[in-house]
Amino acid sequence: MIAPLQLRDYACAKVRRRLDSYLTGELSVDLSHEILEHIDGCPGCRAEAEAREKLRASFRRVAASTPGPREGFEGEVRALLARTPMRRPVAASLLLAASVVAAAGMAGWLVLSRAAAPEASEATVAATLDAPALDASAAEFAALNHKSCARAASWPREAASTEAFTRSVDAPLAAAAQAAAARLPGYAPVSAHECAHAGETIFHIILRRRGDEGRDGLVSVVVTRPHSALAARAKTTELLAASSRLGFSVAGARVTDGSLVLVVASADEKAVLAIGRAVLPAFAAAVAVP
Amino acid sequence: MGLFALGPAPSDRVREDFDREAWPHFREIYRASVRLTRRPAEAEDLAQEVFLQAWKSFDRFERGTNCRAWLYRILWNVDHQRMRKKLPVTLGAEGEAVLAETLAAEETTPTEIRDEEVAAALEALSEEHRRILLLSDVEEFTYKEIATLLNVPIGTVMSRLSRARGALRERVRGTAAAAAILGSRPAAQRGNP
Repeated sequence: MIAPLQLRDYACAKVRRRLDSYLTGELSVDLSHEILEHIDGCPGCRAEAEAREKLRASFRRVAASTPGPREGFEGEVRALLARTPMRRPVAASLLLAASVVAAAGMAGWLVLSRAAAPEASEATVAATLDAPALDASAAEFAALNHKSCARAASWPREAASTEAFTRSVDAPLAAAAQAAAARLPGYAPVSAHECAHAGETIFHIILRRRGDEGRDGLVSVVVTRPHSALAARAKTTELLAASSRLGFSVAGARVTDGSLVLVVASADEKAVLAIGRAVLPAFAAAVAVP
Repeated sequence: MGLFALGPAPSDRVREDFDREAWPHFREIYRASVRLTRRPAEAEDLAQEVFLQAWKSFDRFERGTNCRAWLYRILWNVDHQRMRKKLPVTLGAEGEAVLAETLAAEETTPTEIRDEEVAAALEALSEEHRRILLLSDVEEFTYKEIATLLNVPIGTVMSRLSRARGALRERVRGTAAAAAILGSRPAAQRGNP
């Protein structure tokens, strides 16, 4: 009489160990059938299964009685989010730079590139920023545009007039370009135009450091369209990274409409960051206009 | 309006996406926050922080994937930081699972149990037990989803759940036994054979 009882206890123990997983539907079909078969022939385990199911149901009822949010709370959070810009994640090593920008009201402003030693900097930047390769494309794109447009073409020392500076672009862009130039008194406005480059149509502002006639005195501000392929690609990554092979410093940020604003110059990263910090609010303001 | 006159209004579009994907889960996240914190004031802070973080990092939400699970992951992370000071003890070693399984095999669950008794039993559970039970039985995440959410192997989820369920049953048994002793319920209905 003892042997069958032991056998049954063993079977019951095995079933009860799996009973919760059975009840939550986590077991394979085969195992579920095994349990079901046992329960059919074992009143004790059947009763236990029912009791556990009851307990789960009771637990759910208790949890379901949790009150919902008070009236007005959702509206408060919505209002908070409405005045909060999206943020791009920033690596710990860049937190300082980012915090400076955050203080200026902008999020995620990064120094992307420093190319003091072009052949070494790619590895250095990758190690410092831990940035995925994809991110480099935005910085490289801007650097390439700077090289192939700002530095390759023959530009006047300074635009002859405000109208001459921005006449080839639409009003919102013209206003943004003028606002950007106005924020950089040490730089003269040269040209604001749309460039088509590598399948992207971008907004390109060229400035020149006053008193510097050489090409190294030129600064490019490159603004992507908000949902262009480039902006979307960069958006999927955590960090924008450097294009070091061209030998420029590139700094960039994403403004609230999703556009990337990238500043390219021959200056060092601190200077480029400062330029970026100065011009960025001009674009932030432009996109904030309803 | 964007910088480019011909371009879409992008910030509006992102907000529309957020409206569509995330906001429908607001009440649920709030209520989950209440269950986690047990205090409406704390729950408001928690739920607000979850939505704030979700919005700020919405560019990292992969469109078309499960936004509810994504929000819960944020909820769990935010709450984990909040709880870090309160919950210094980490979850037990995997070896305990064997013990828990043995217990699960031997115990019986009371058949007659009132919701308020279950509520009391829940309150008496440890935080780690209560939380994993909420994920499984109330929020109805699968073991696999919970494993992703907590960033632990699925076997760990199973053993934690097993311990938590055993603990809940034990509490409920205690409550039911007390009720029987106090005469509010016949002793015969306490458990099954």
